[in-house]
Amino acid sequence: MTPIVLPLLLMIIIIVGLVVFNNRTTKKPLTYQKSRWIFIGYILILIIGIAFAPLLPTTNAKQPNNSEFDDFYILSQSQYTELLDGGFTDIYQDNVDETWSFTYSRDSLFLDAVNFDGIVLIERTKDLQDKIEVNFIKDYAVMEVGAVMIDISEYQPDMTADLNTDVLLLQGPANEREVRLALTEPEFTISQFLDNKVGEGYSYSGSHFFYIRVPQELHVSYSDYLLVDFVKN
Amino acid sequence: MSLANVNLSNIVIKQYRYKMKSFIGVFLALMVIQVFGILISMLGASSSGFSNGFFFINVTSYTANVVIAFTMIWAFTNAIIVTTKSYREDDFTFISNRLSYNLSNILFLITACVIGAITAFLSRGVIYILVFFVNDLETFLTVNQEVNMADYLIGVLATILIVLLAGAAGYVVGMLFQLNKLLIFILPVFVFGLDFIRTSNESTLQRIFEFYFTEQVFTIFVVKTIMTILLGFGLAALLTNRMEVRR
Repeated sequence: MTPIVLPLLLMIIIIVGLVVFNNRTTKKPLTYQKSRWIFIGYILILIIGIAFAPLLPTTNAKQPNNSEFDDFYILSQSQYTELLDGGFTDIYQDNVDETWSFTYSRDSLFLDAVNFDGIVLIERTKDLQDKIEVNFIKDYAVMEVGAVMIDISEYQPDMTADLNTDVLLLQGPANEREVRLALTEPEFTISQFLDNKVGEGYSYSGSHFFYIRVPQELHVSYSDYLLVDFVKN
Repeated sequence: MSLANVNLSNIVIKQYRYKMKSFIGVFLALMVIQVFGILISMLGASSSGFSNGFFFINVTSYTANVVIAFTMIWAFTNAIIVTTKSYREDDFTFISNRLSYNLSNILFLITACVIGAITAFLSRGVIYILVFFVNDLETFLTVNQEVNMADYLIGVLATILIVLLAGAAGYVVGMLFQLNKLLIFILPVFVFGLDFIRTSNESTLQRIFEFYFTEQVFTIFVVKTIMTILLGFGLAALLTNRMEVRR
């Protein structure tokens, strides 16, 4: 049985329902005038609906350009290696979501995290003296709904970084943030003649990690559950 | 012998006007089924969820597709009902022949289908407003995918043609049922049977649906549907000629 059979069964149920409805209205009819006004009222509601629907406070869904996204996706696969090789300033500057700077003159630093178990990259640099720079990086996150691919990067929650004595605390949201979006899509009698192909429910969470720049001589230790990598430079 | 000089167009118009008034229940049924479709549409046409540990995002898309589909079923059923004996008898209130009977029925079905298709298309506004106020949403997104006024116009025309196609199919089926009551049982079996007849990976039923619903060139779609509609109404008229005369 193909998926067509279920809608066919639903059709039969509706057809039977309509026949029953038809028999009832034939046996106990409403007056023509009453019926006409009910139907006119219904049409008026539909017209008012279509007139007011565009006035709803809506947001235009951000849609990544398909070829741009493909290029980005291919590039992102090799970027982590490049990043480990010290290419931060060239690659990820545009994707820095937030930067925190802390004055720090101690010899050692302990990295800890709450509600964050992602990647942390540490770059030791001679450019920084008595200072720590924490960058949270996030890029493209997309998902496909029907025929539409939406850029959902902006809905990713914010992270925070705090320095308490010699502990740098990286903090994610206490609870997983739940975002509910509604998307209006064109009807099949419109989309049939558009070029859009129905997607396959593809989604890509993008990169999100902390990139921490510390003075060259600083000794850094960290919690076991953190995935820490040091930039080779 | 009557002194009144009657012509075909007058009779057809009279019968058509009569049907528009006396079959008002058909439009109430349309309203009921579309309201039902609107309520089902509020559940969403498709939904995608995504989680990466930091956030869970759920996007539900809304369209009037269900309302359009229900309207097609209504058109199909309505066309069958019009061919039933009780409705057929009404035509003999007037001076009538098979041609005027068919023409007035076809005119009525075209009017009903056009009204049904337009109201189905208009229902999208009510769906969006209800979804907006009933659901606890963070953001209501619209897709700006190069859908302009011309696309909407094409959408309305395509909806009208699809609903008319269902109406024409119902009219043929209705006539077949009137010709031989056994077909009420045989025809559904035949349609379901098409699902098991496969020439490739797809069943014949799927291929029939794809013939209309995957056509991406609007002009070809128009030719396909109009040809089928004309064929359907023509076939139904031929079948009427084989029906016994009223006693």
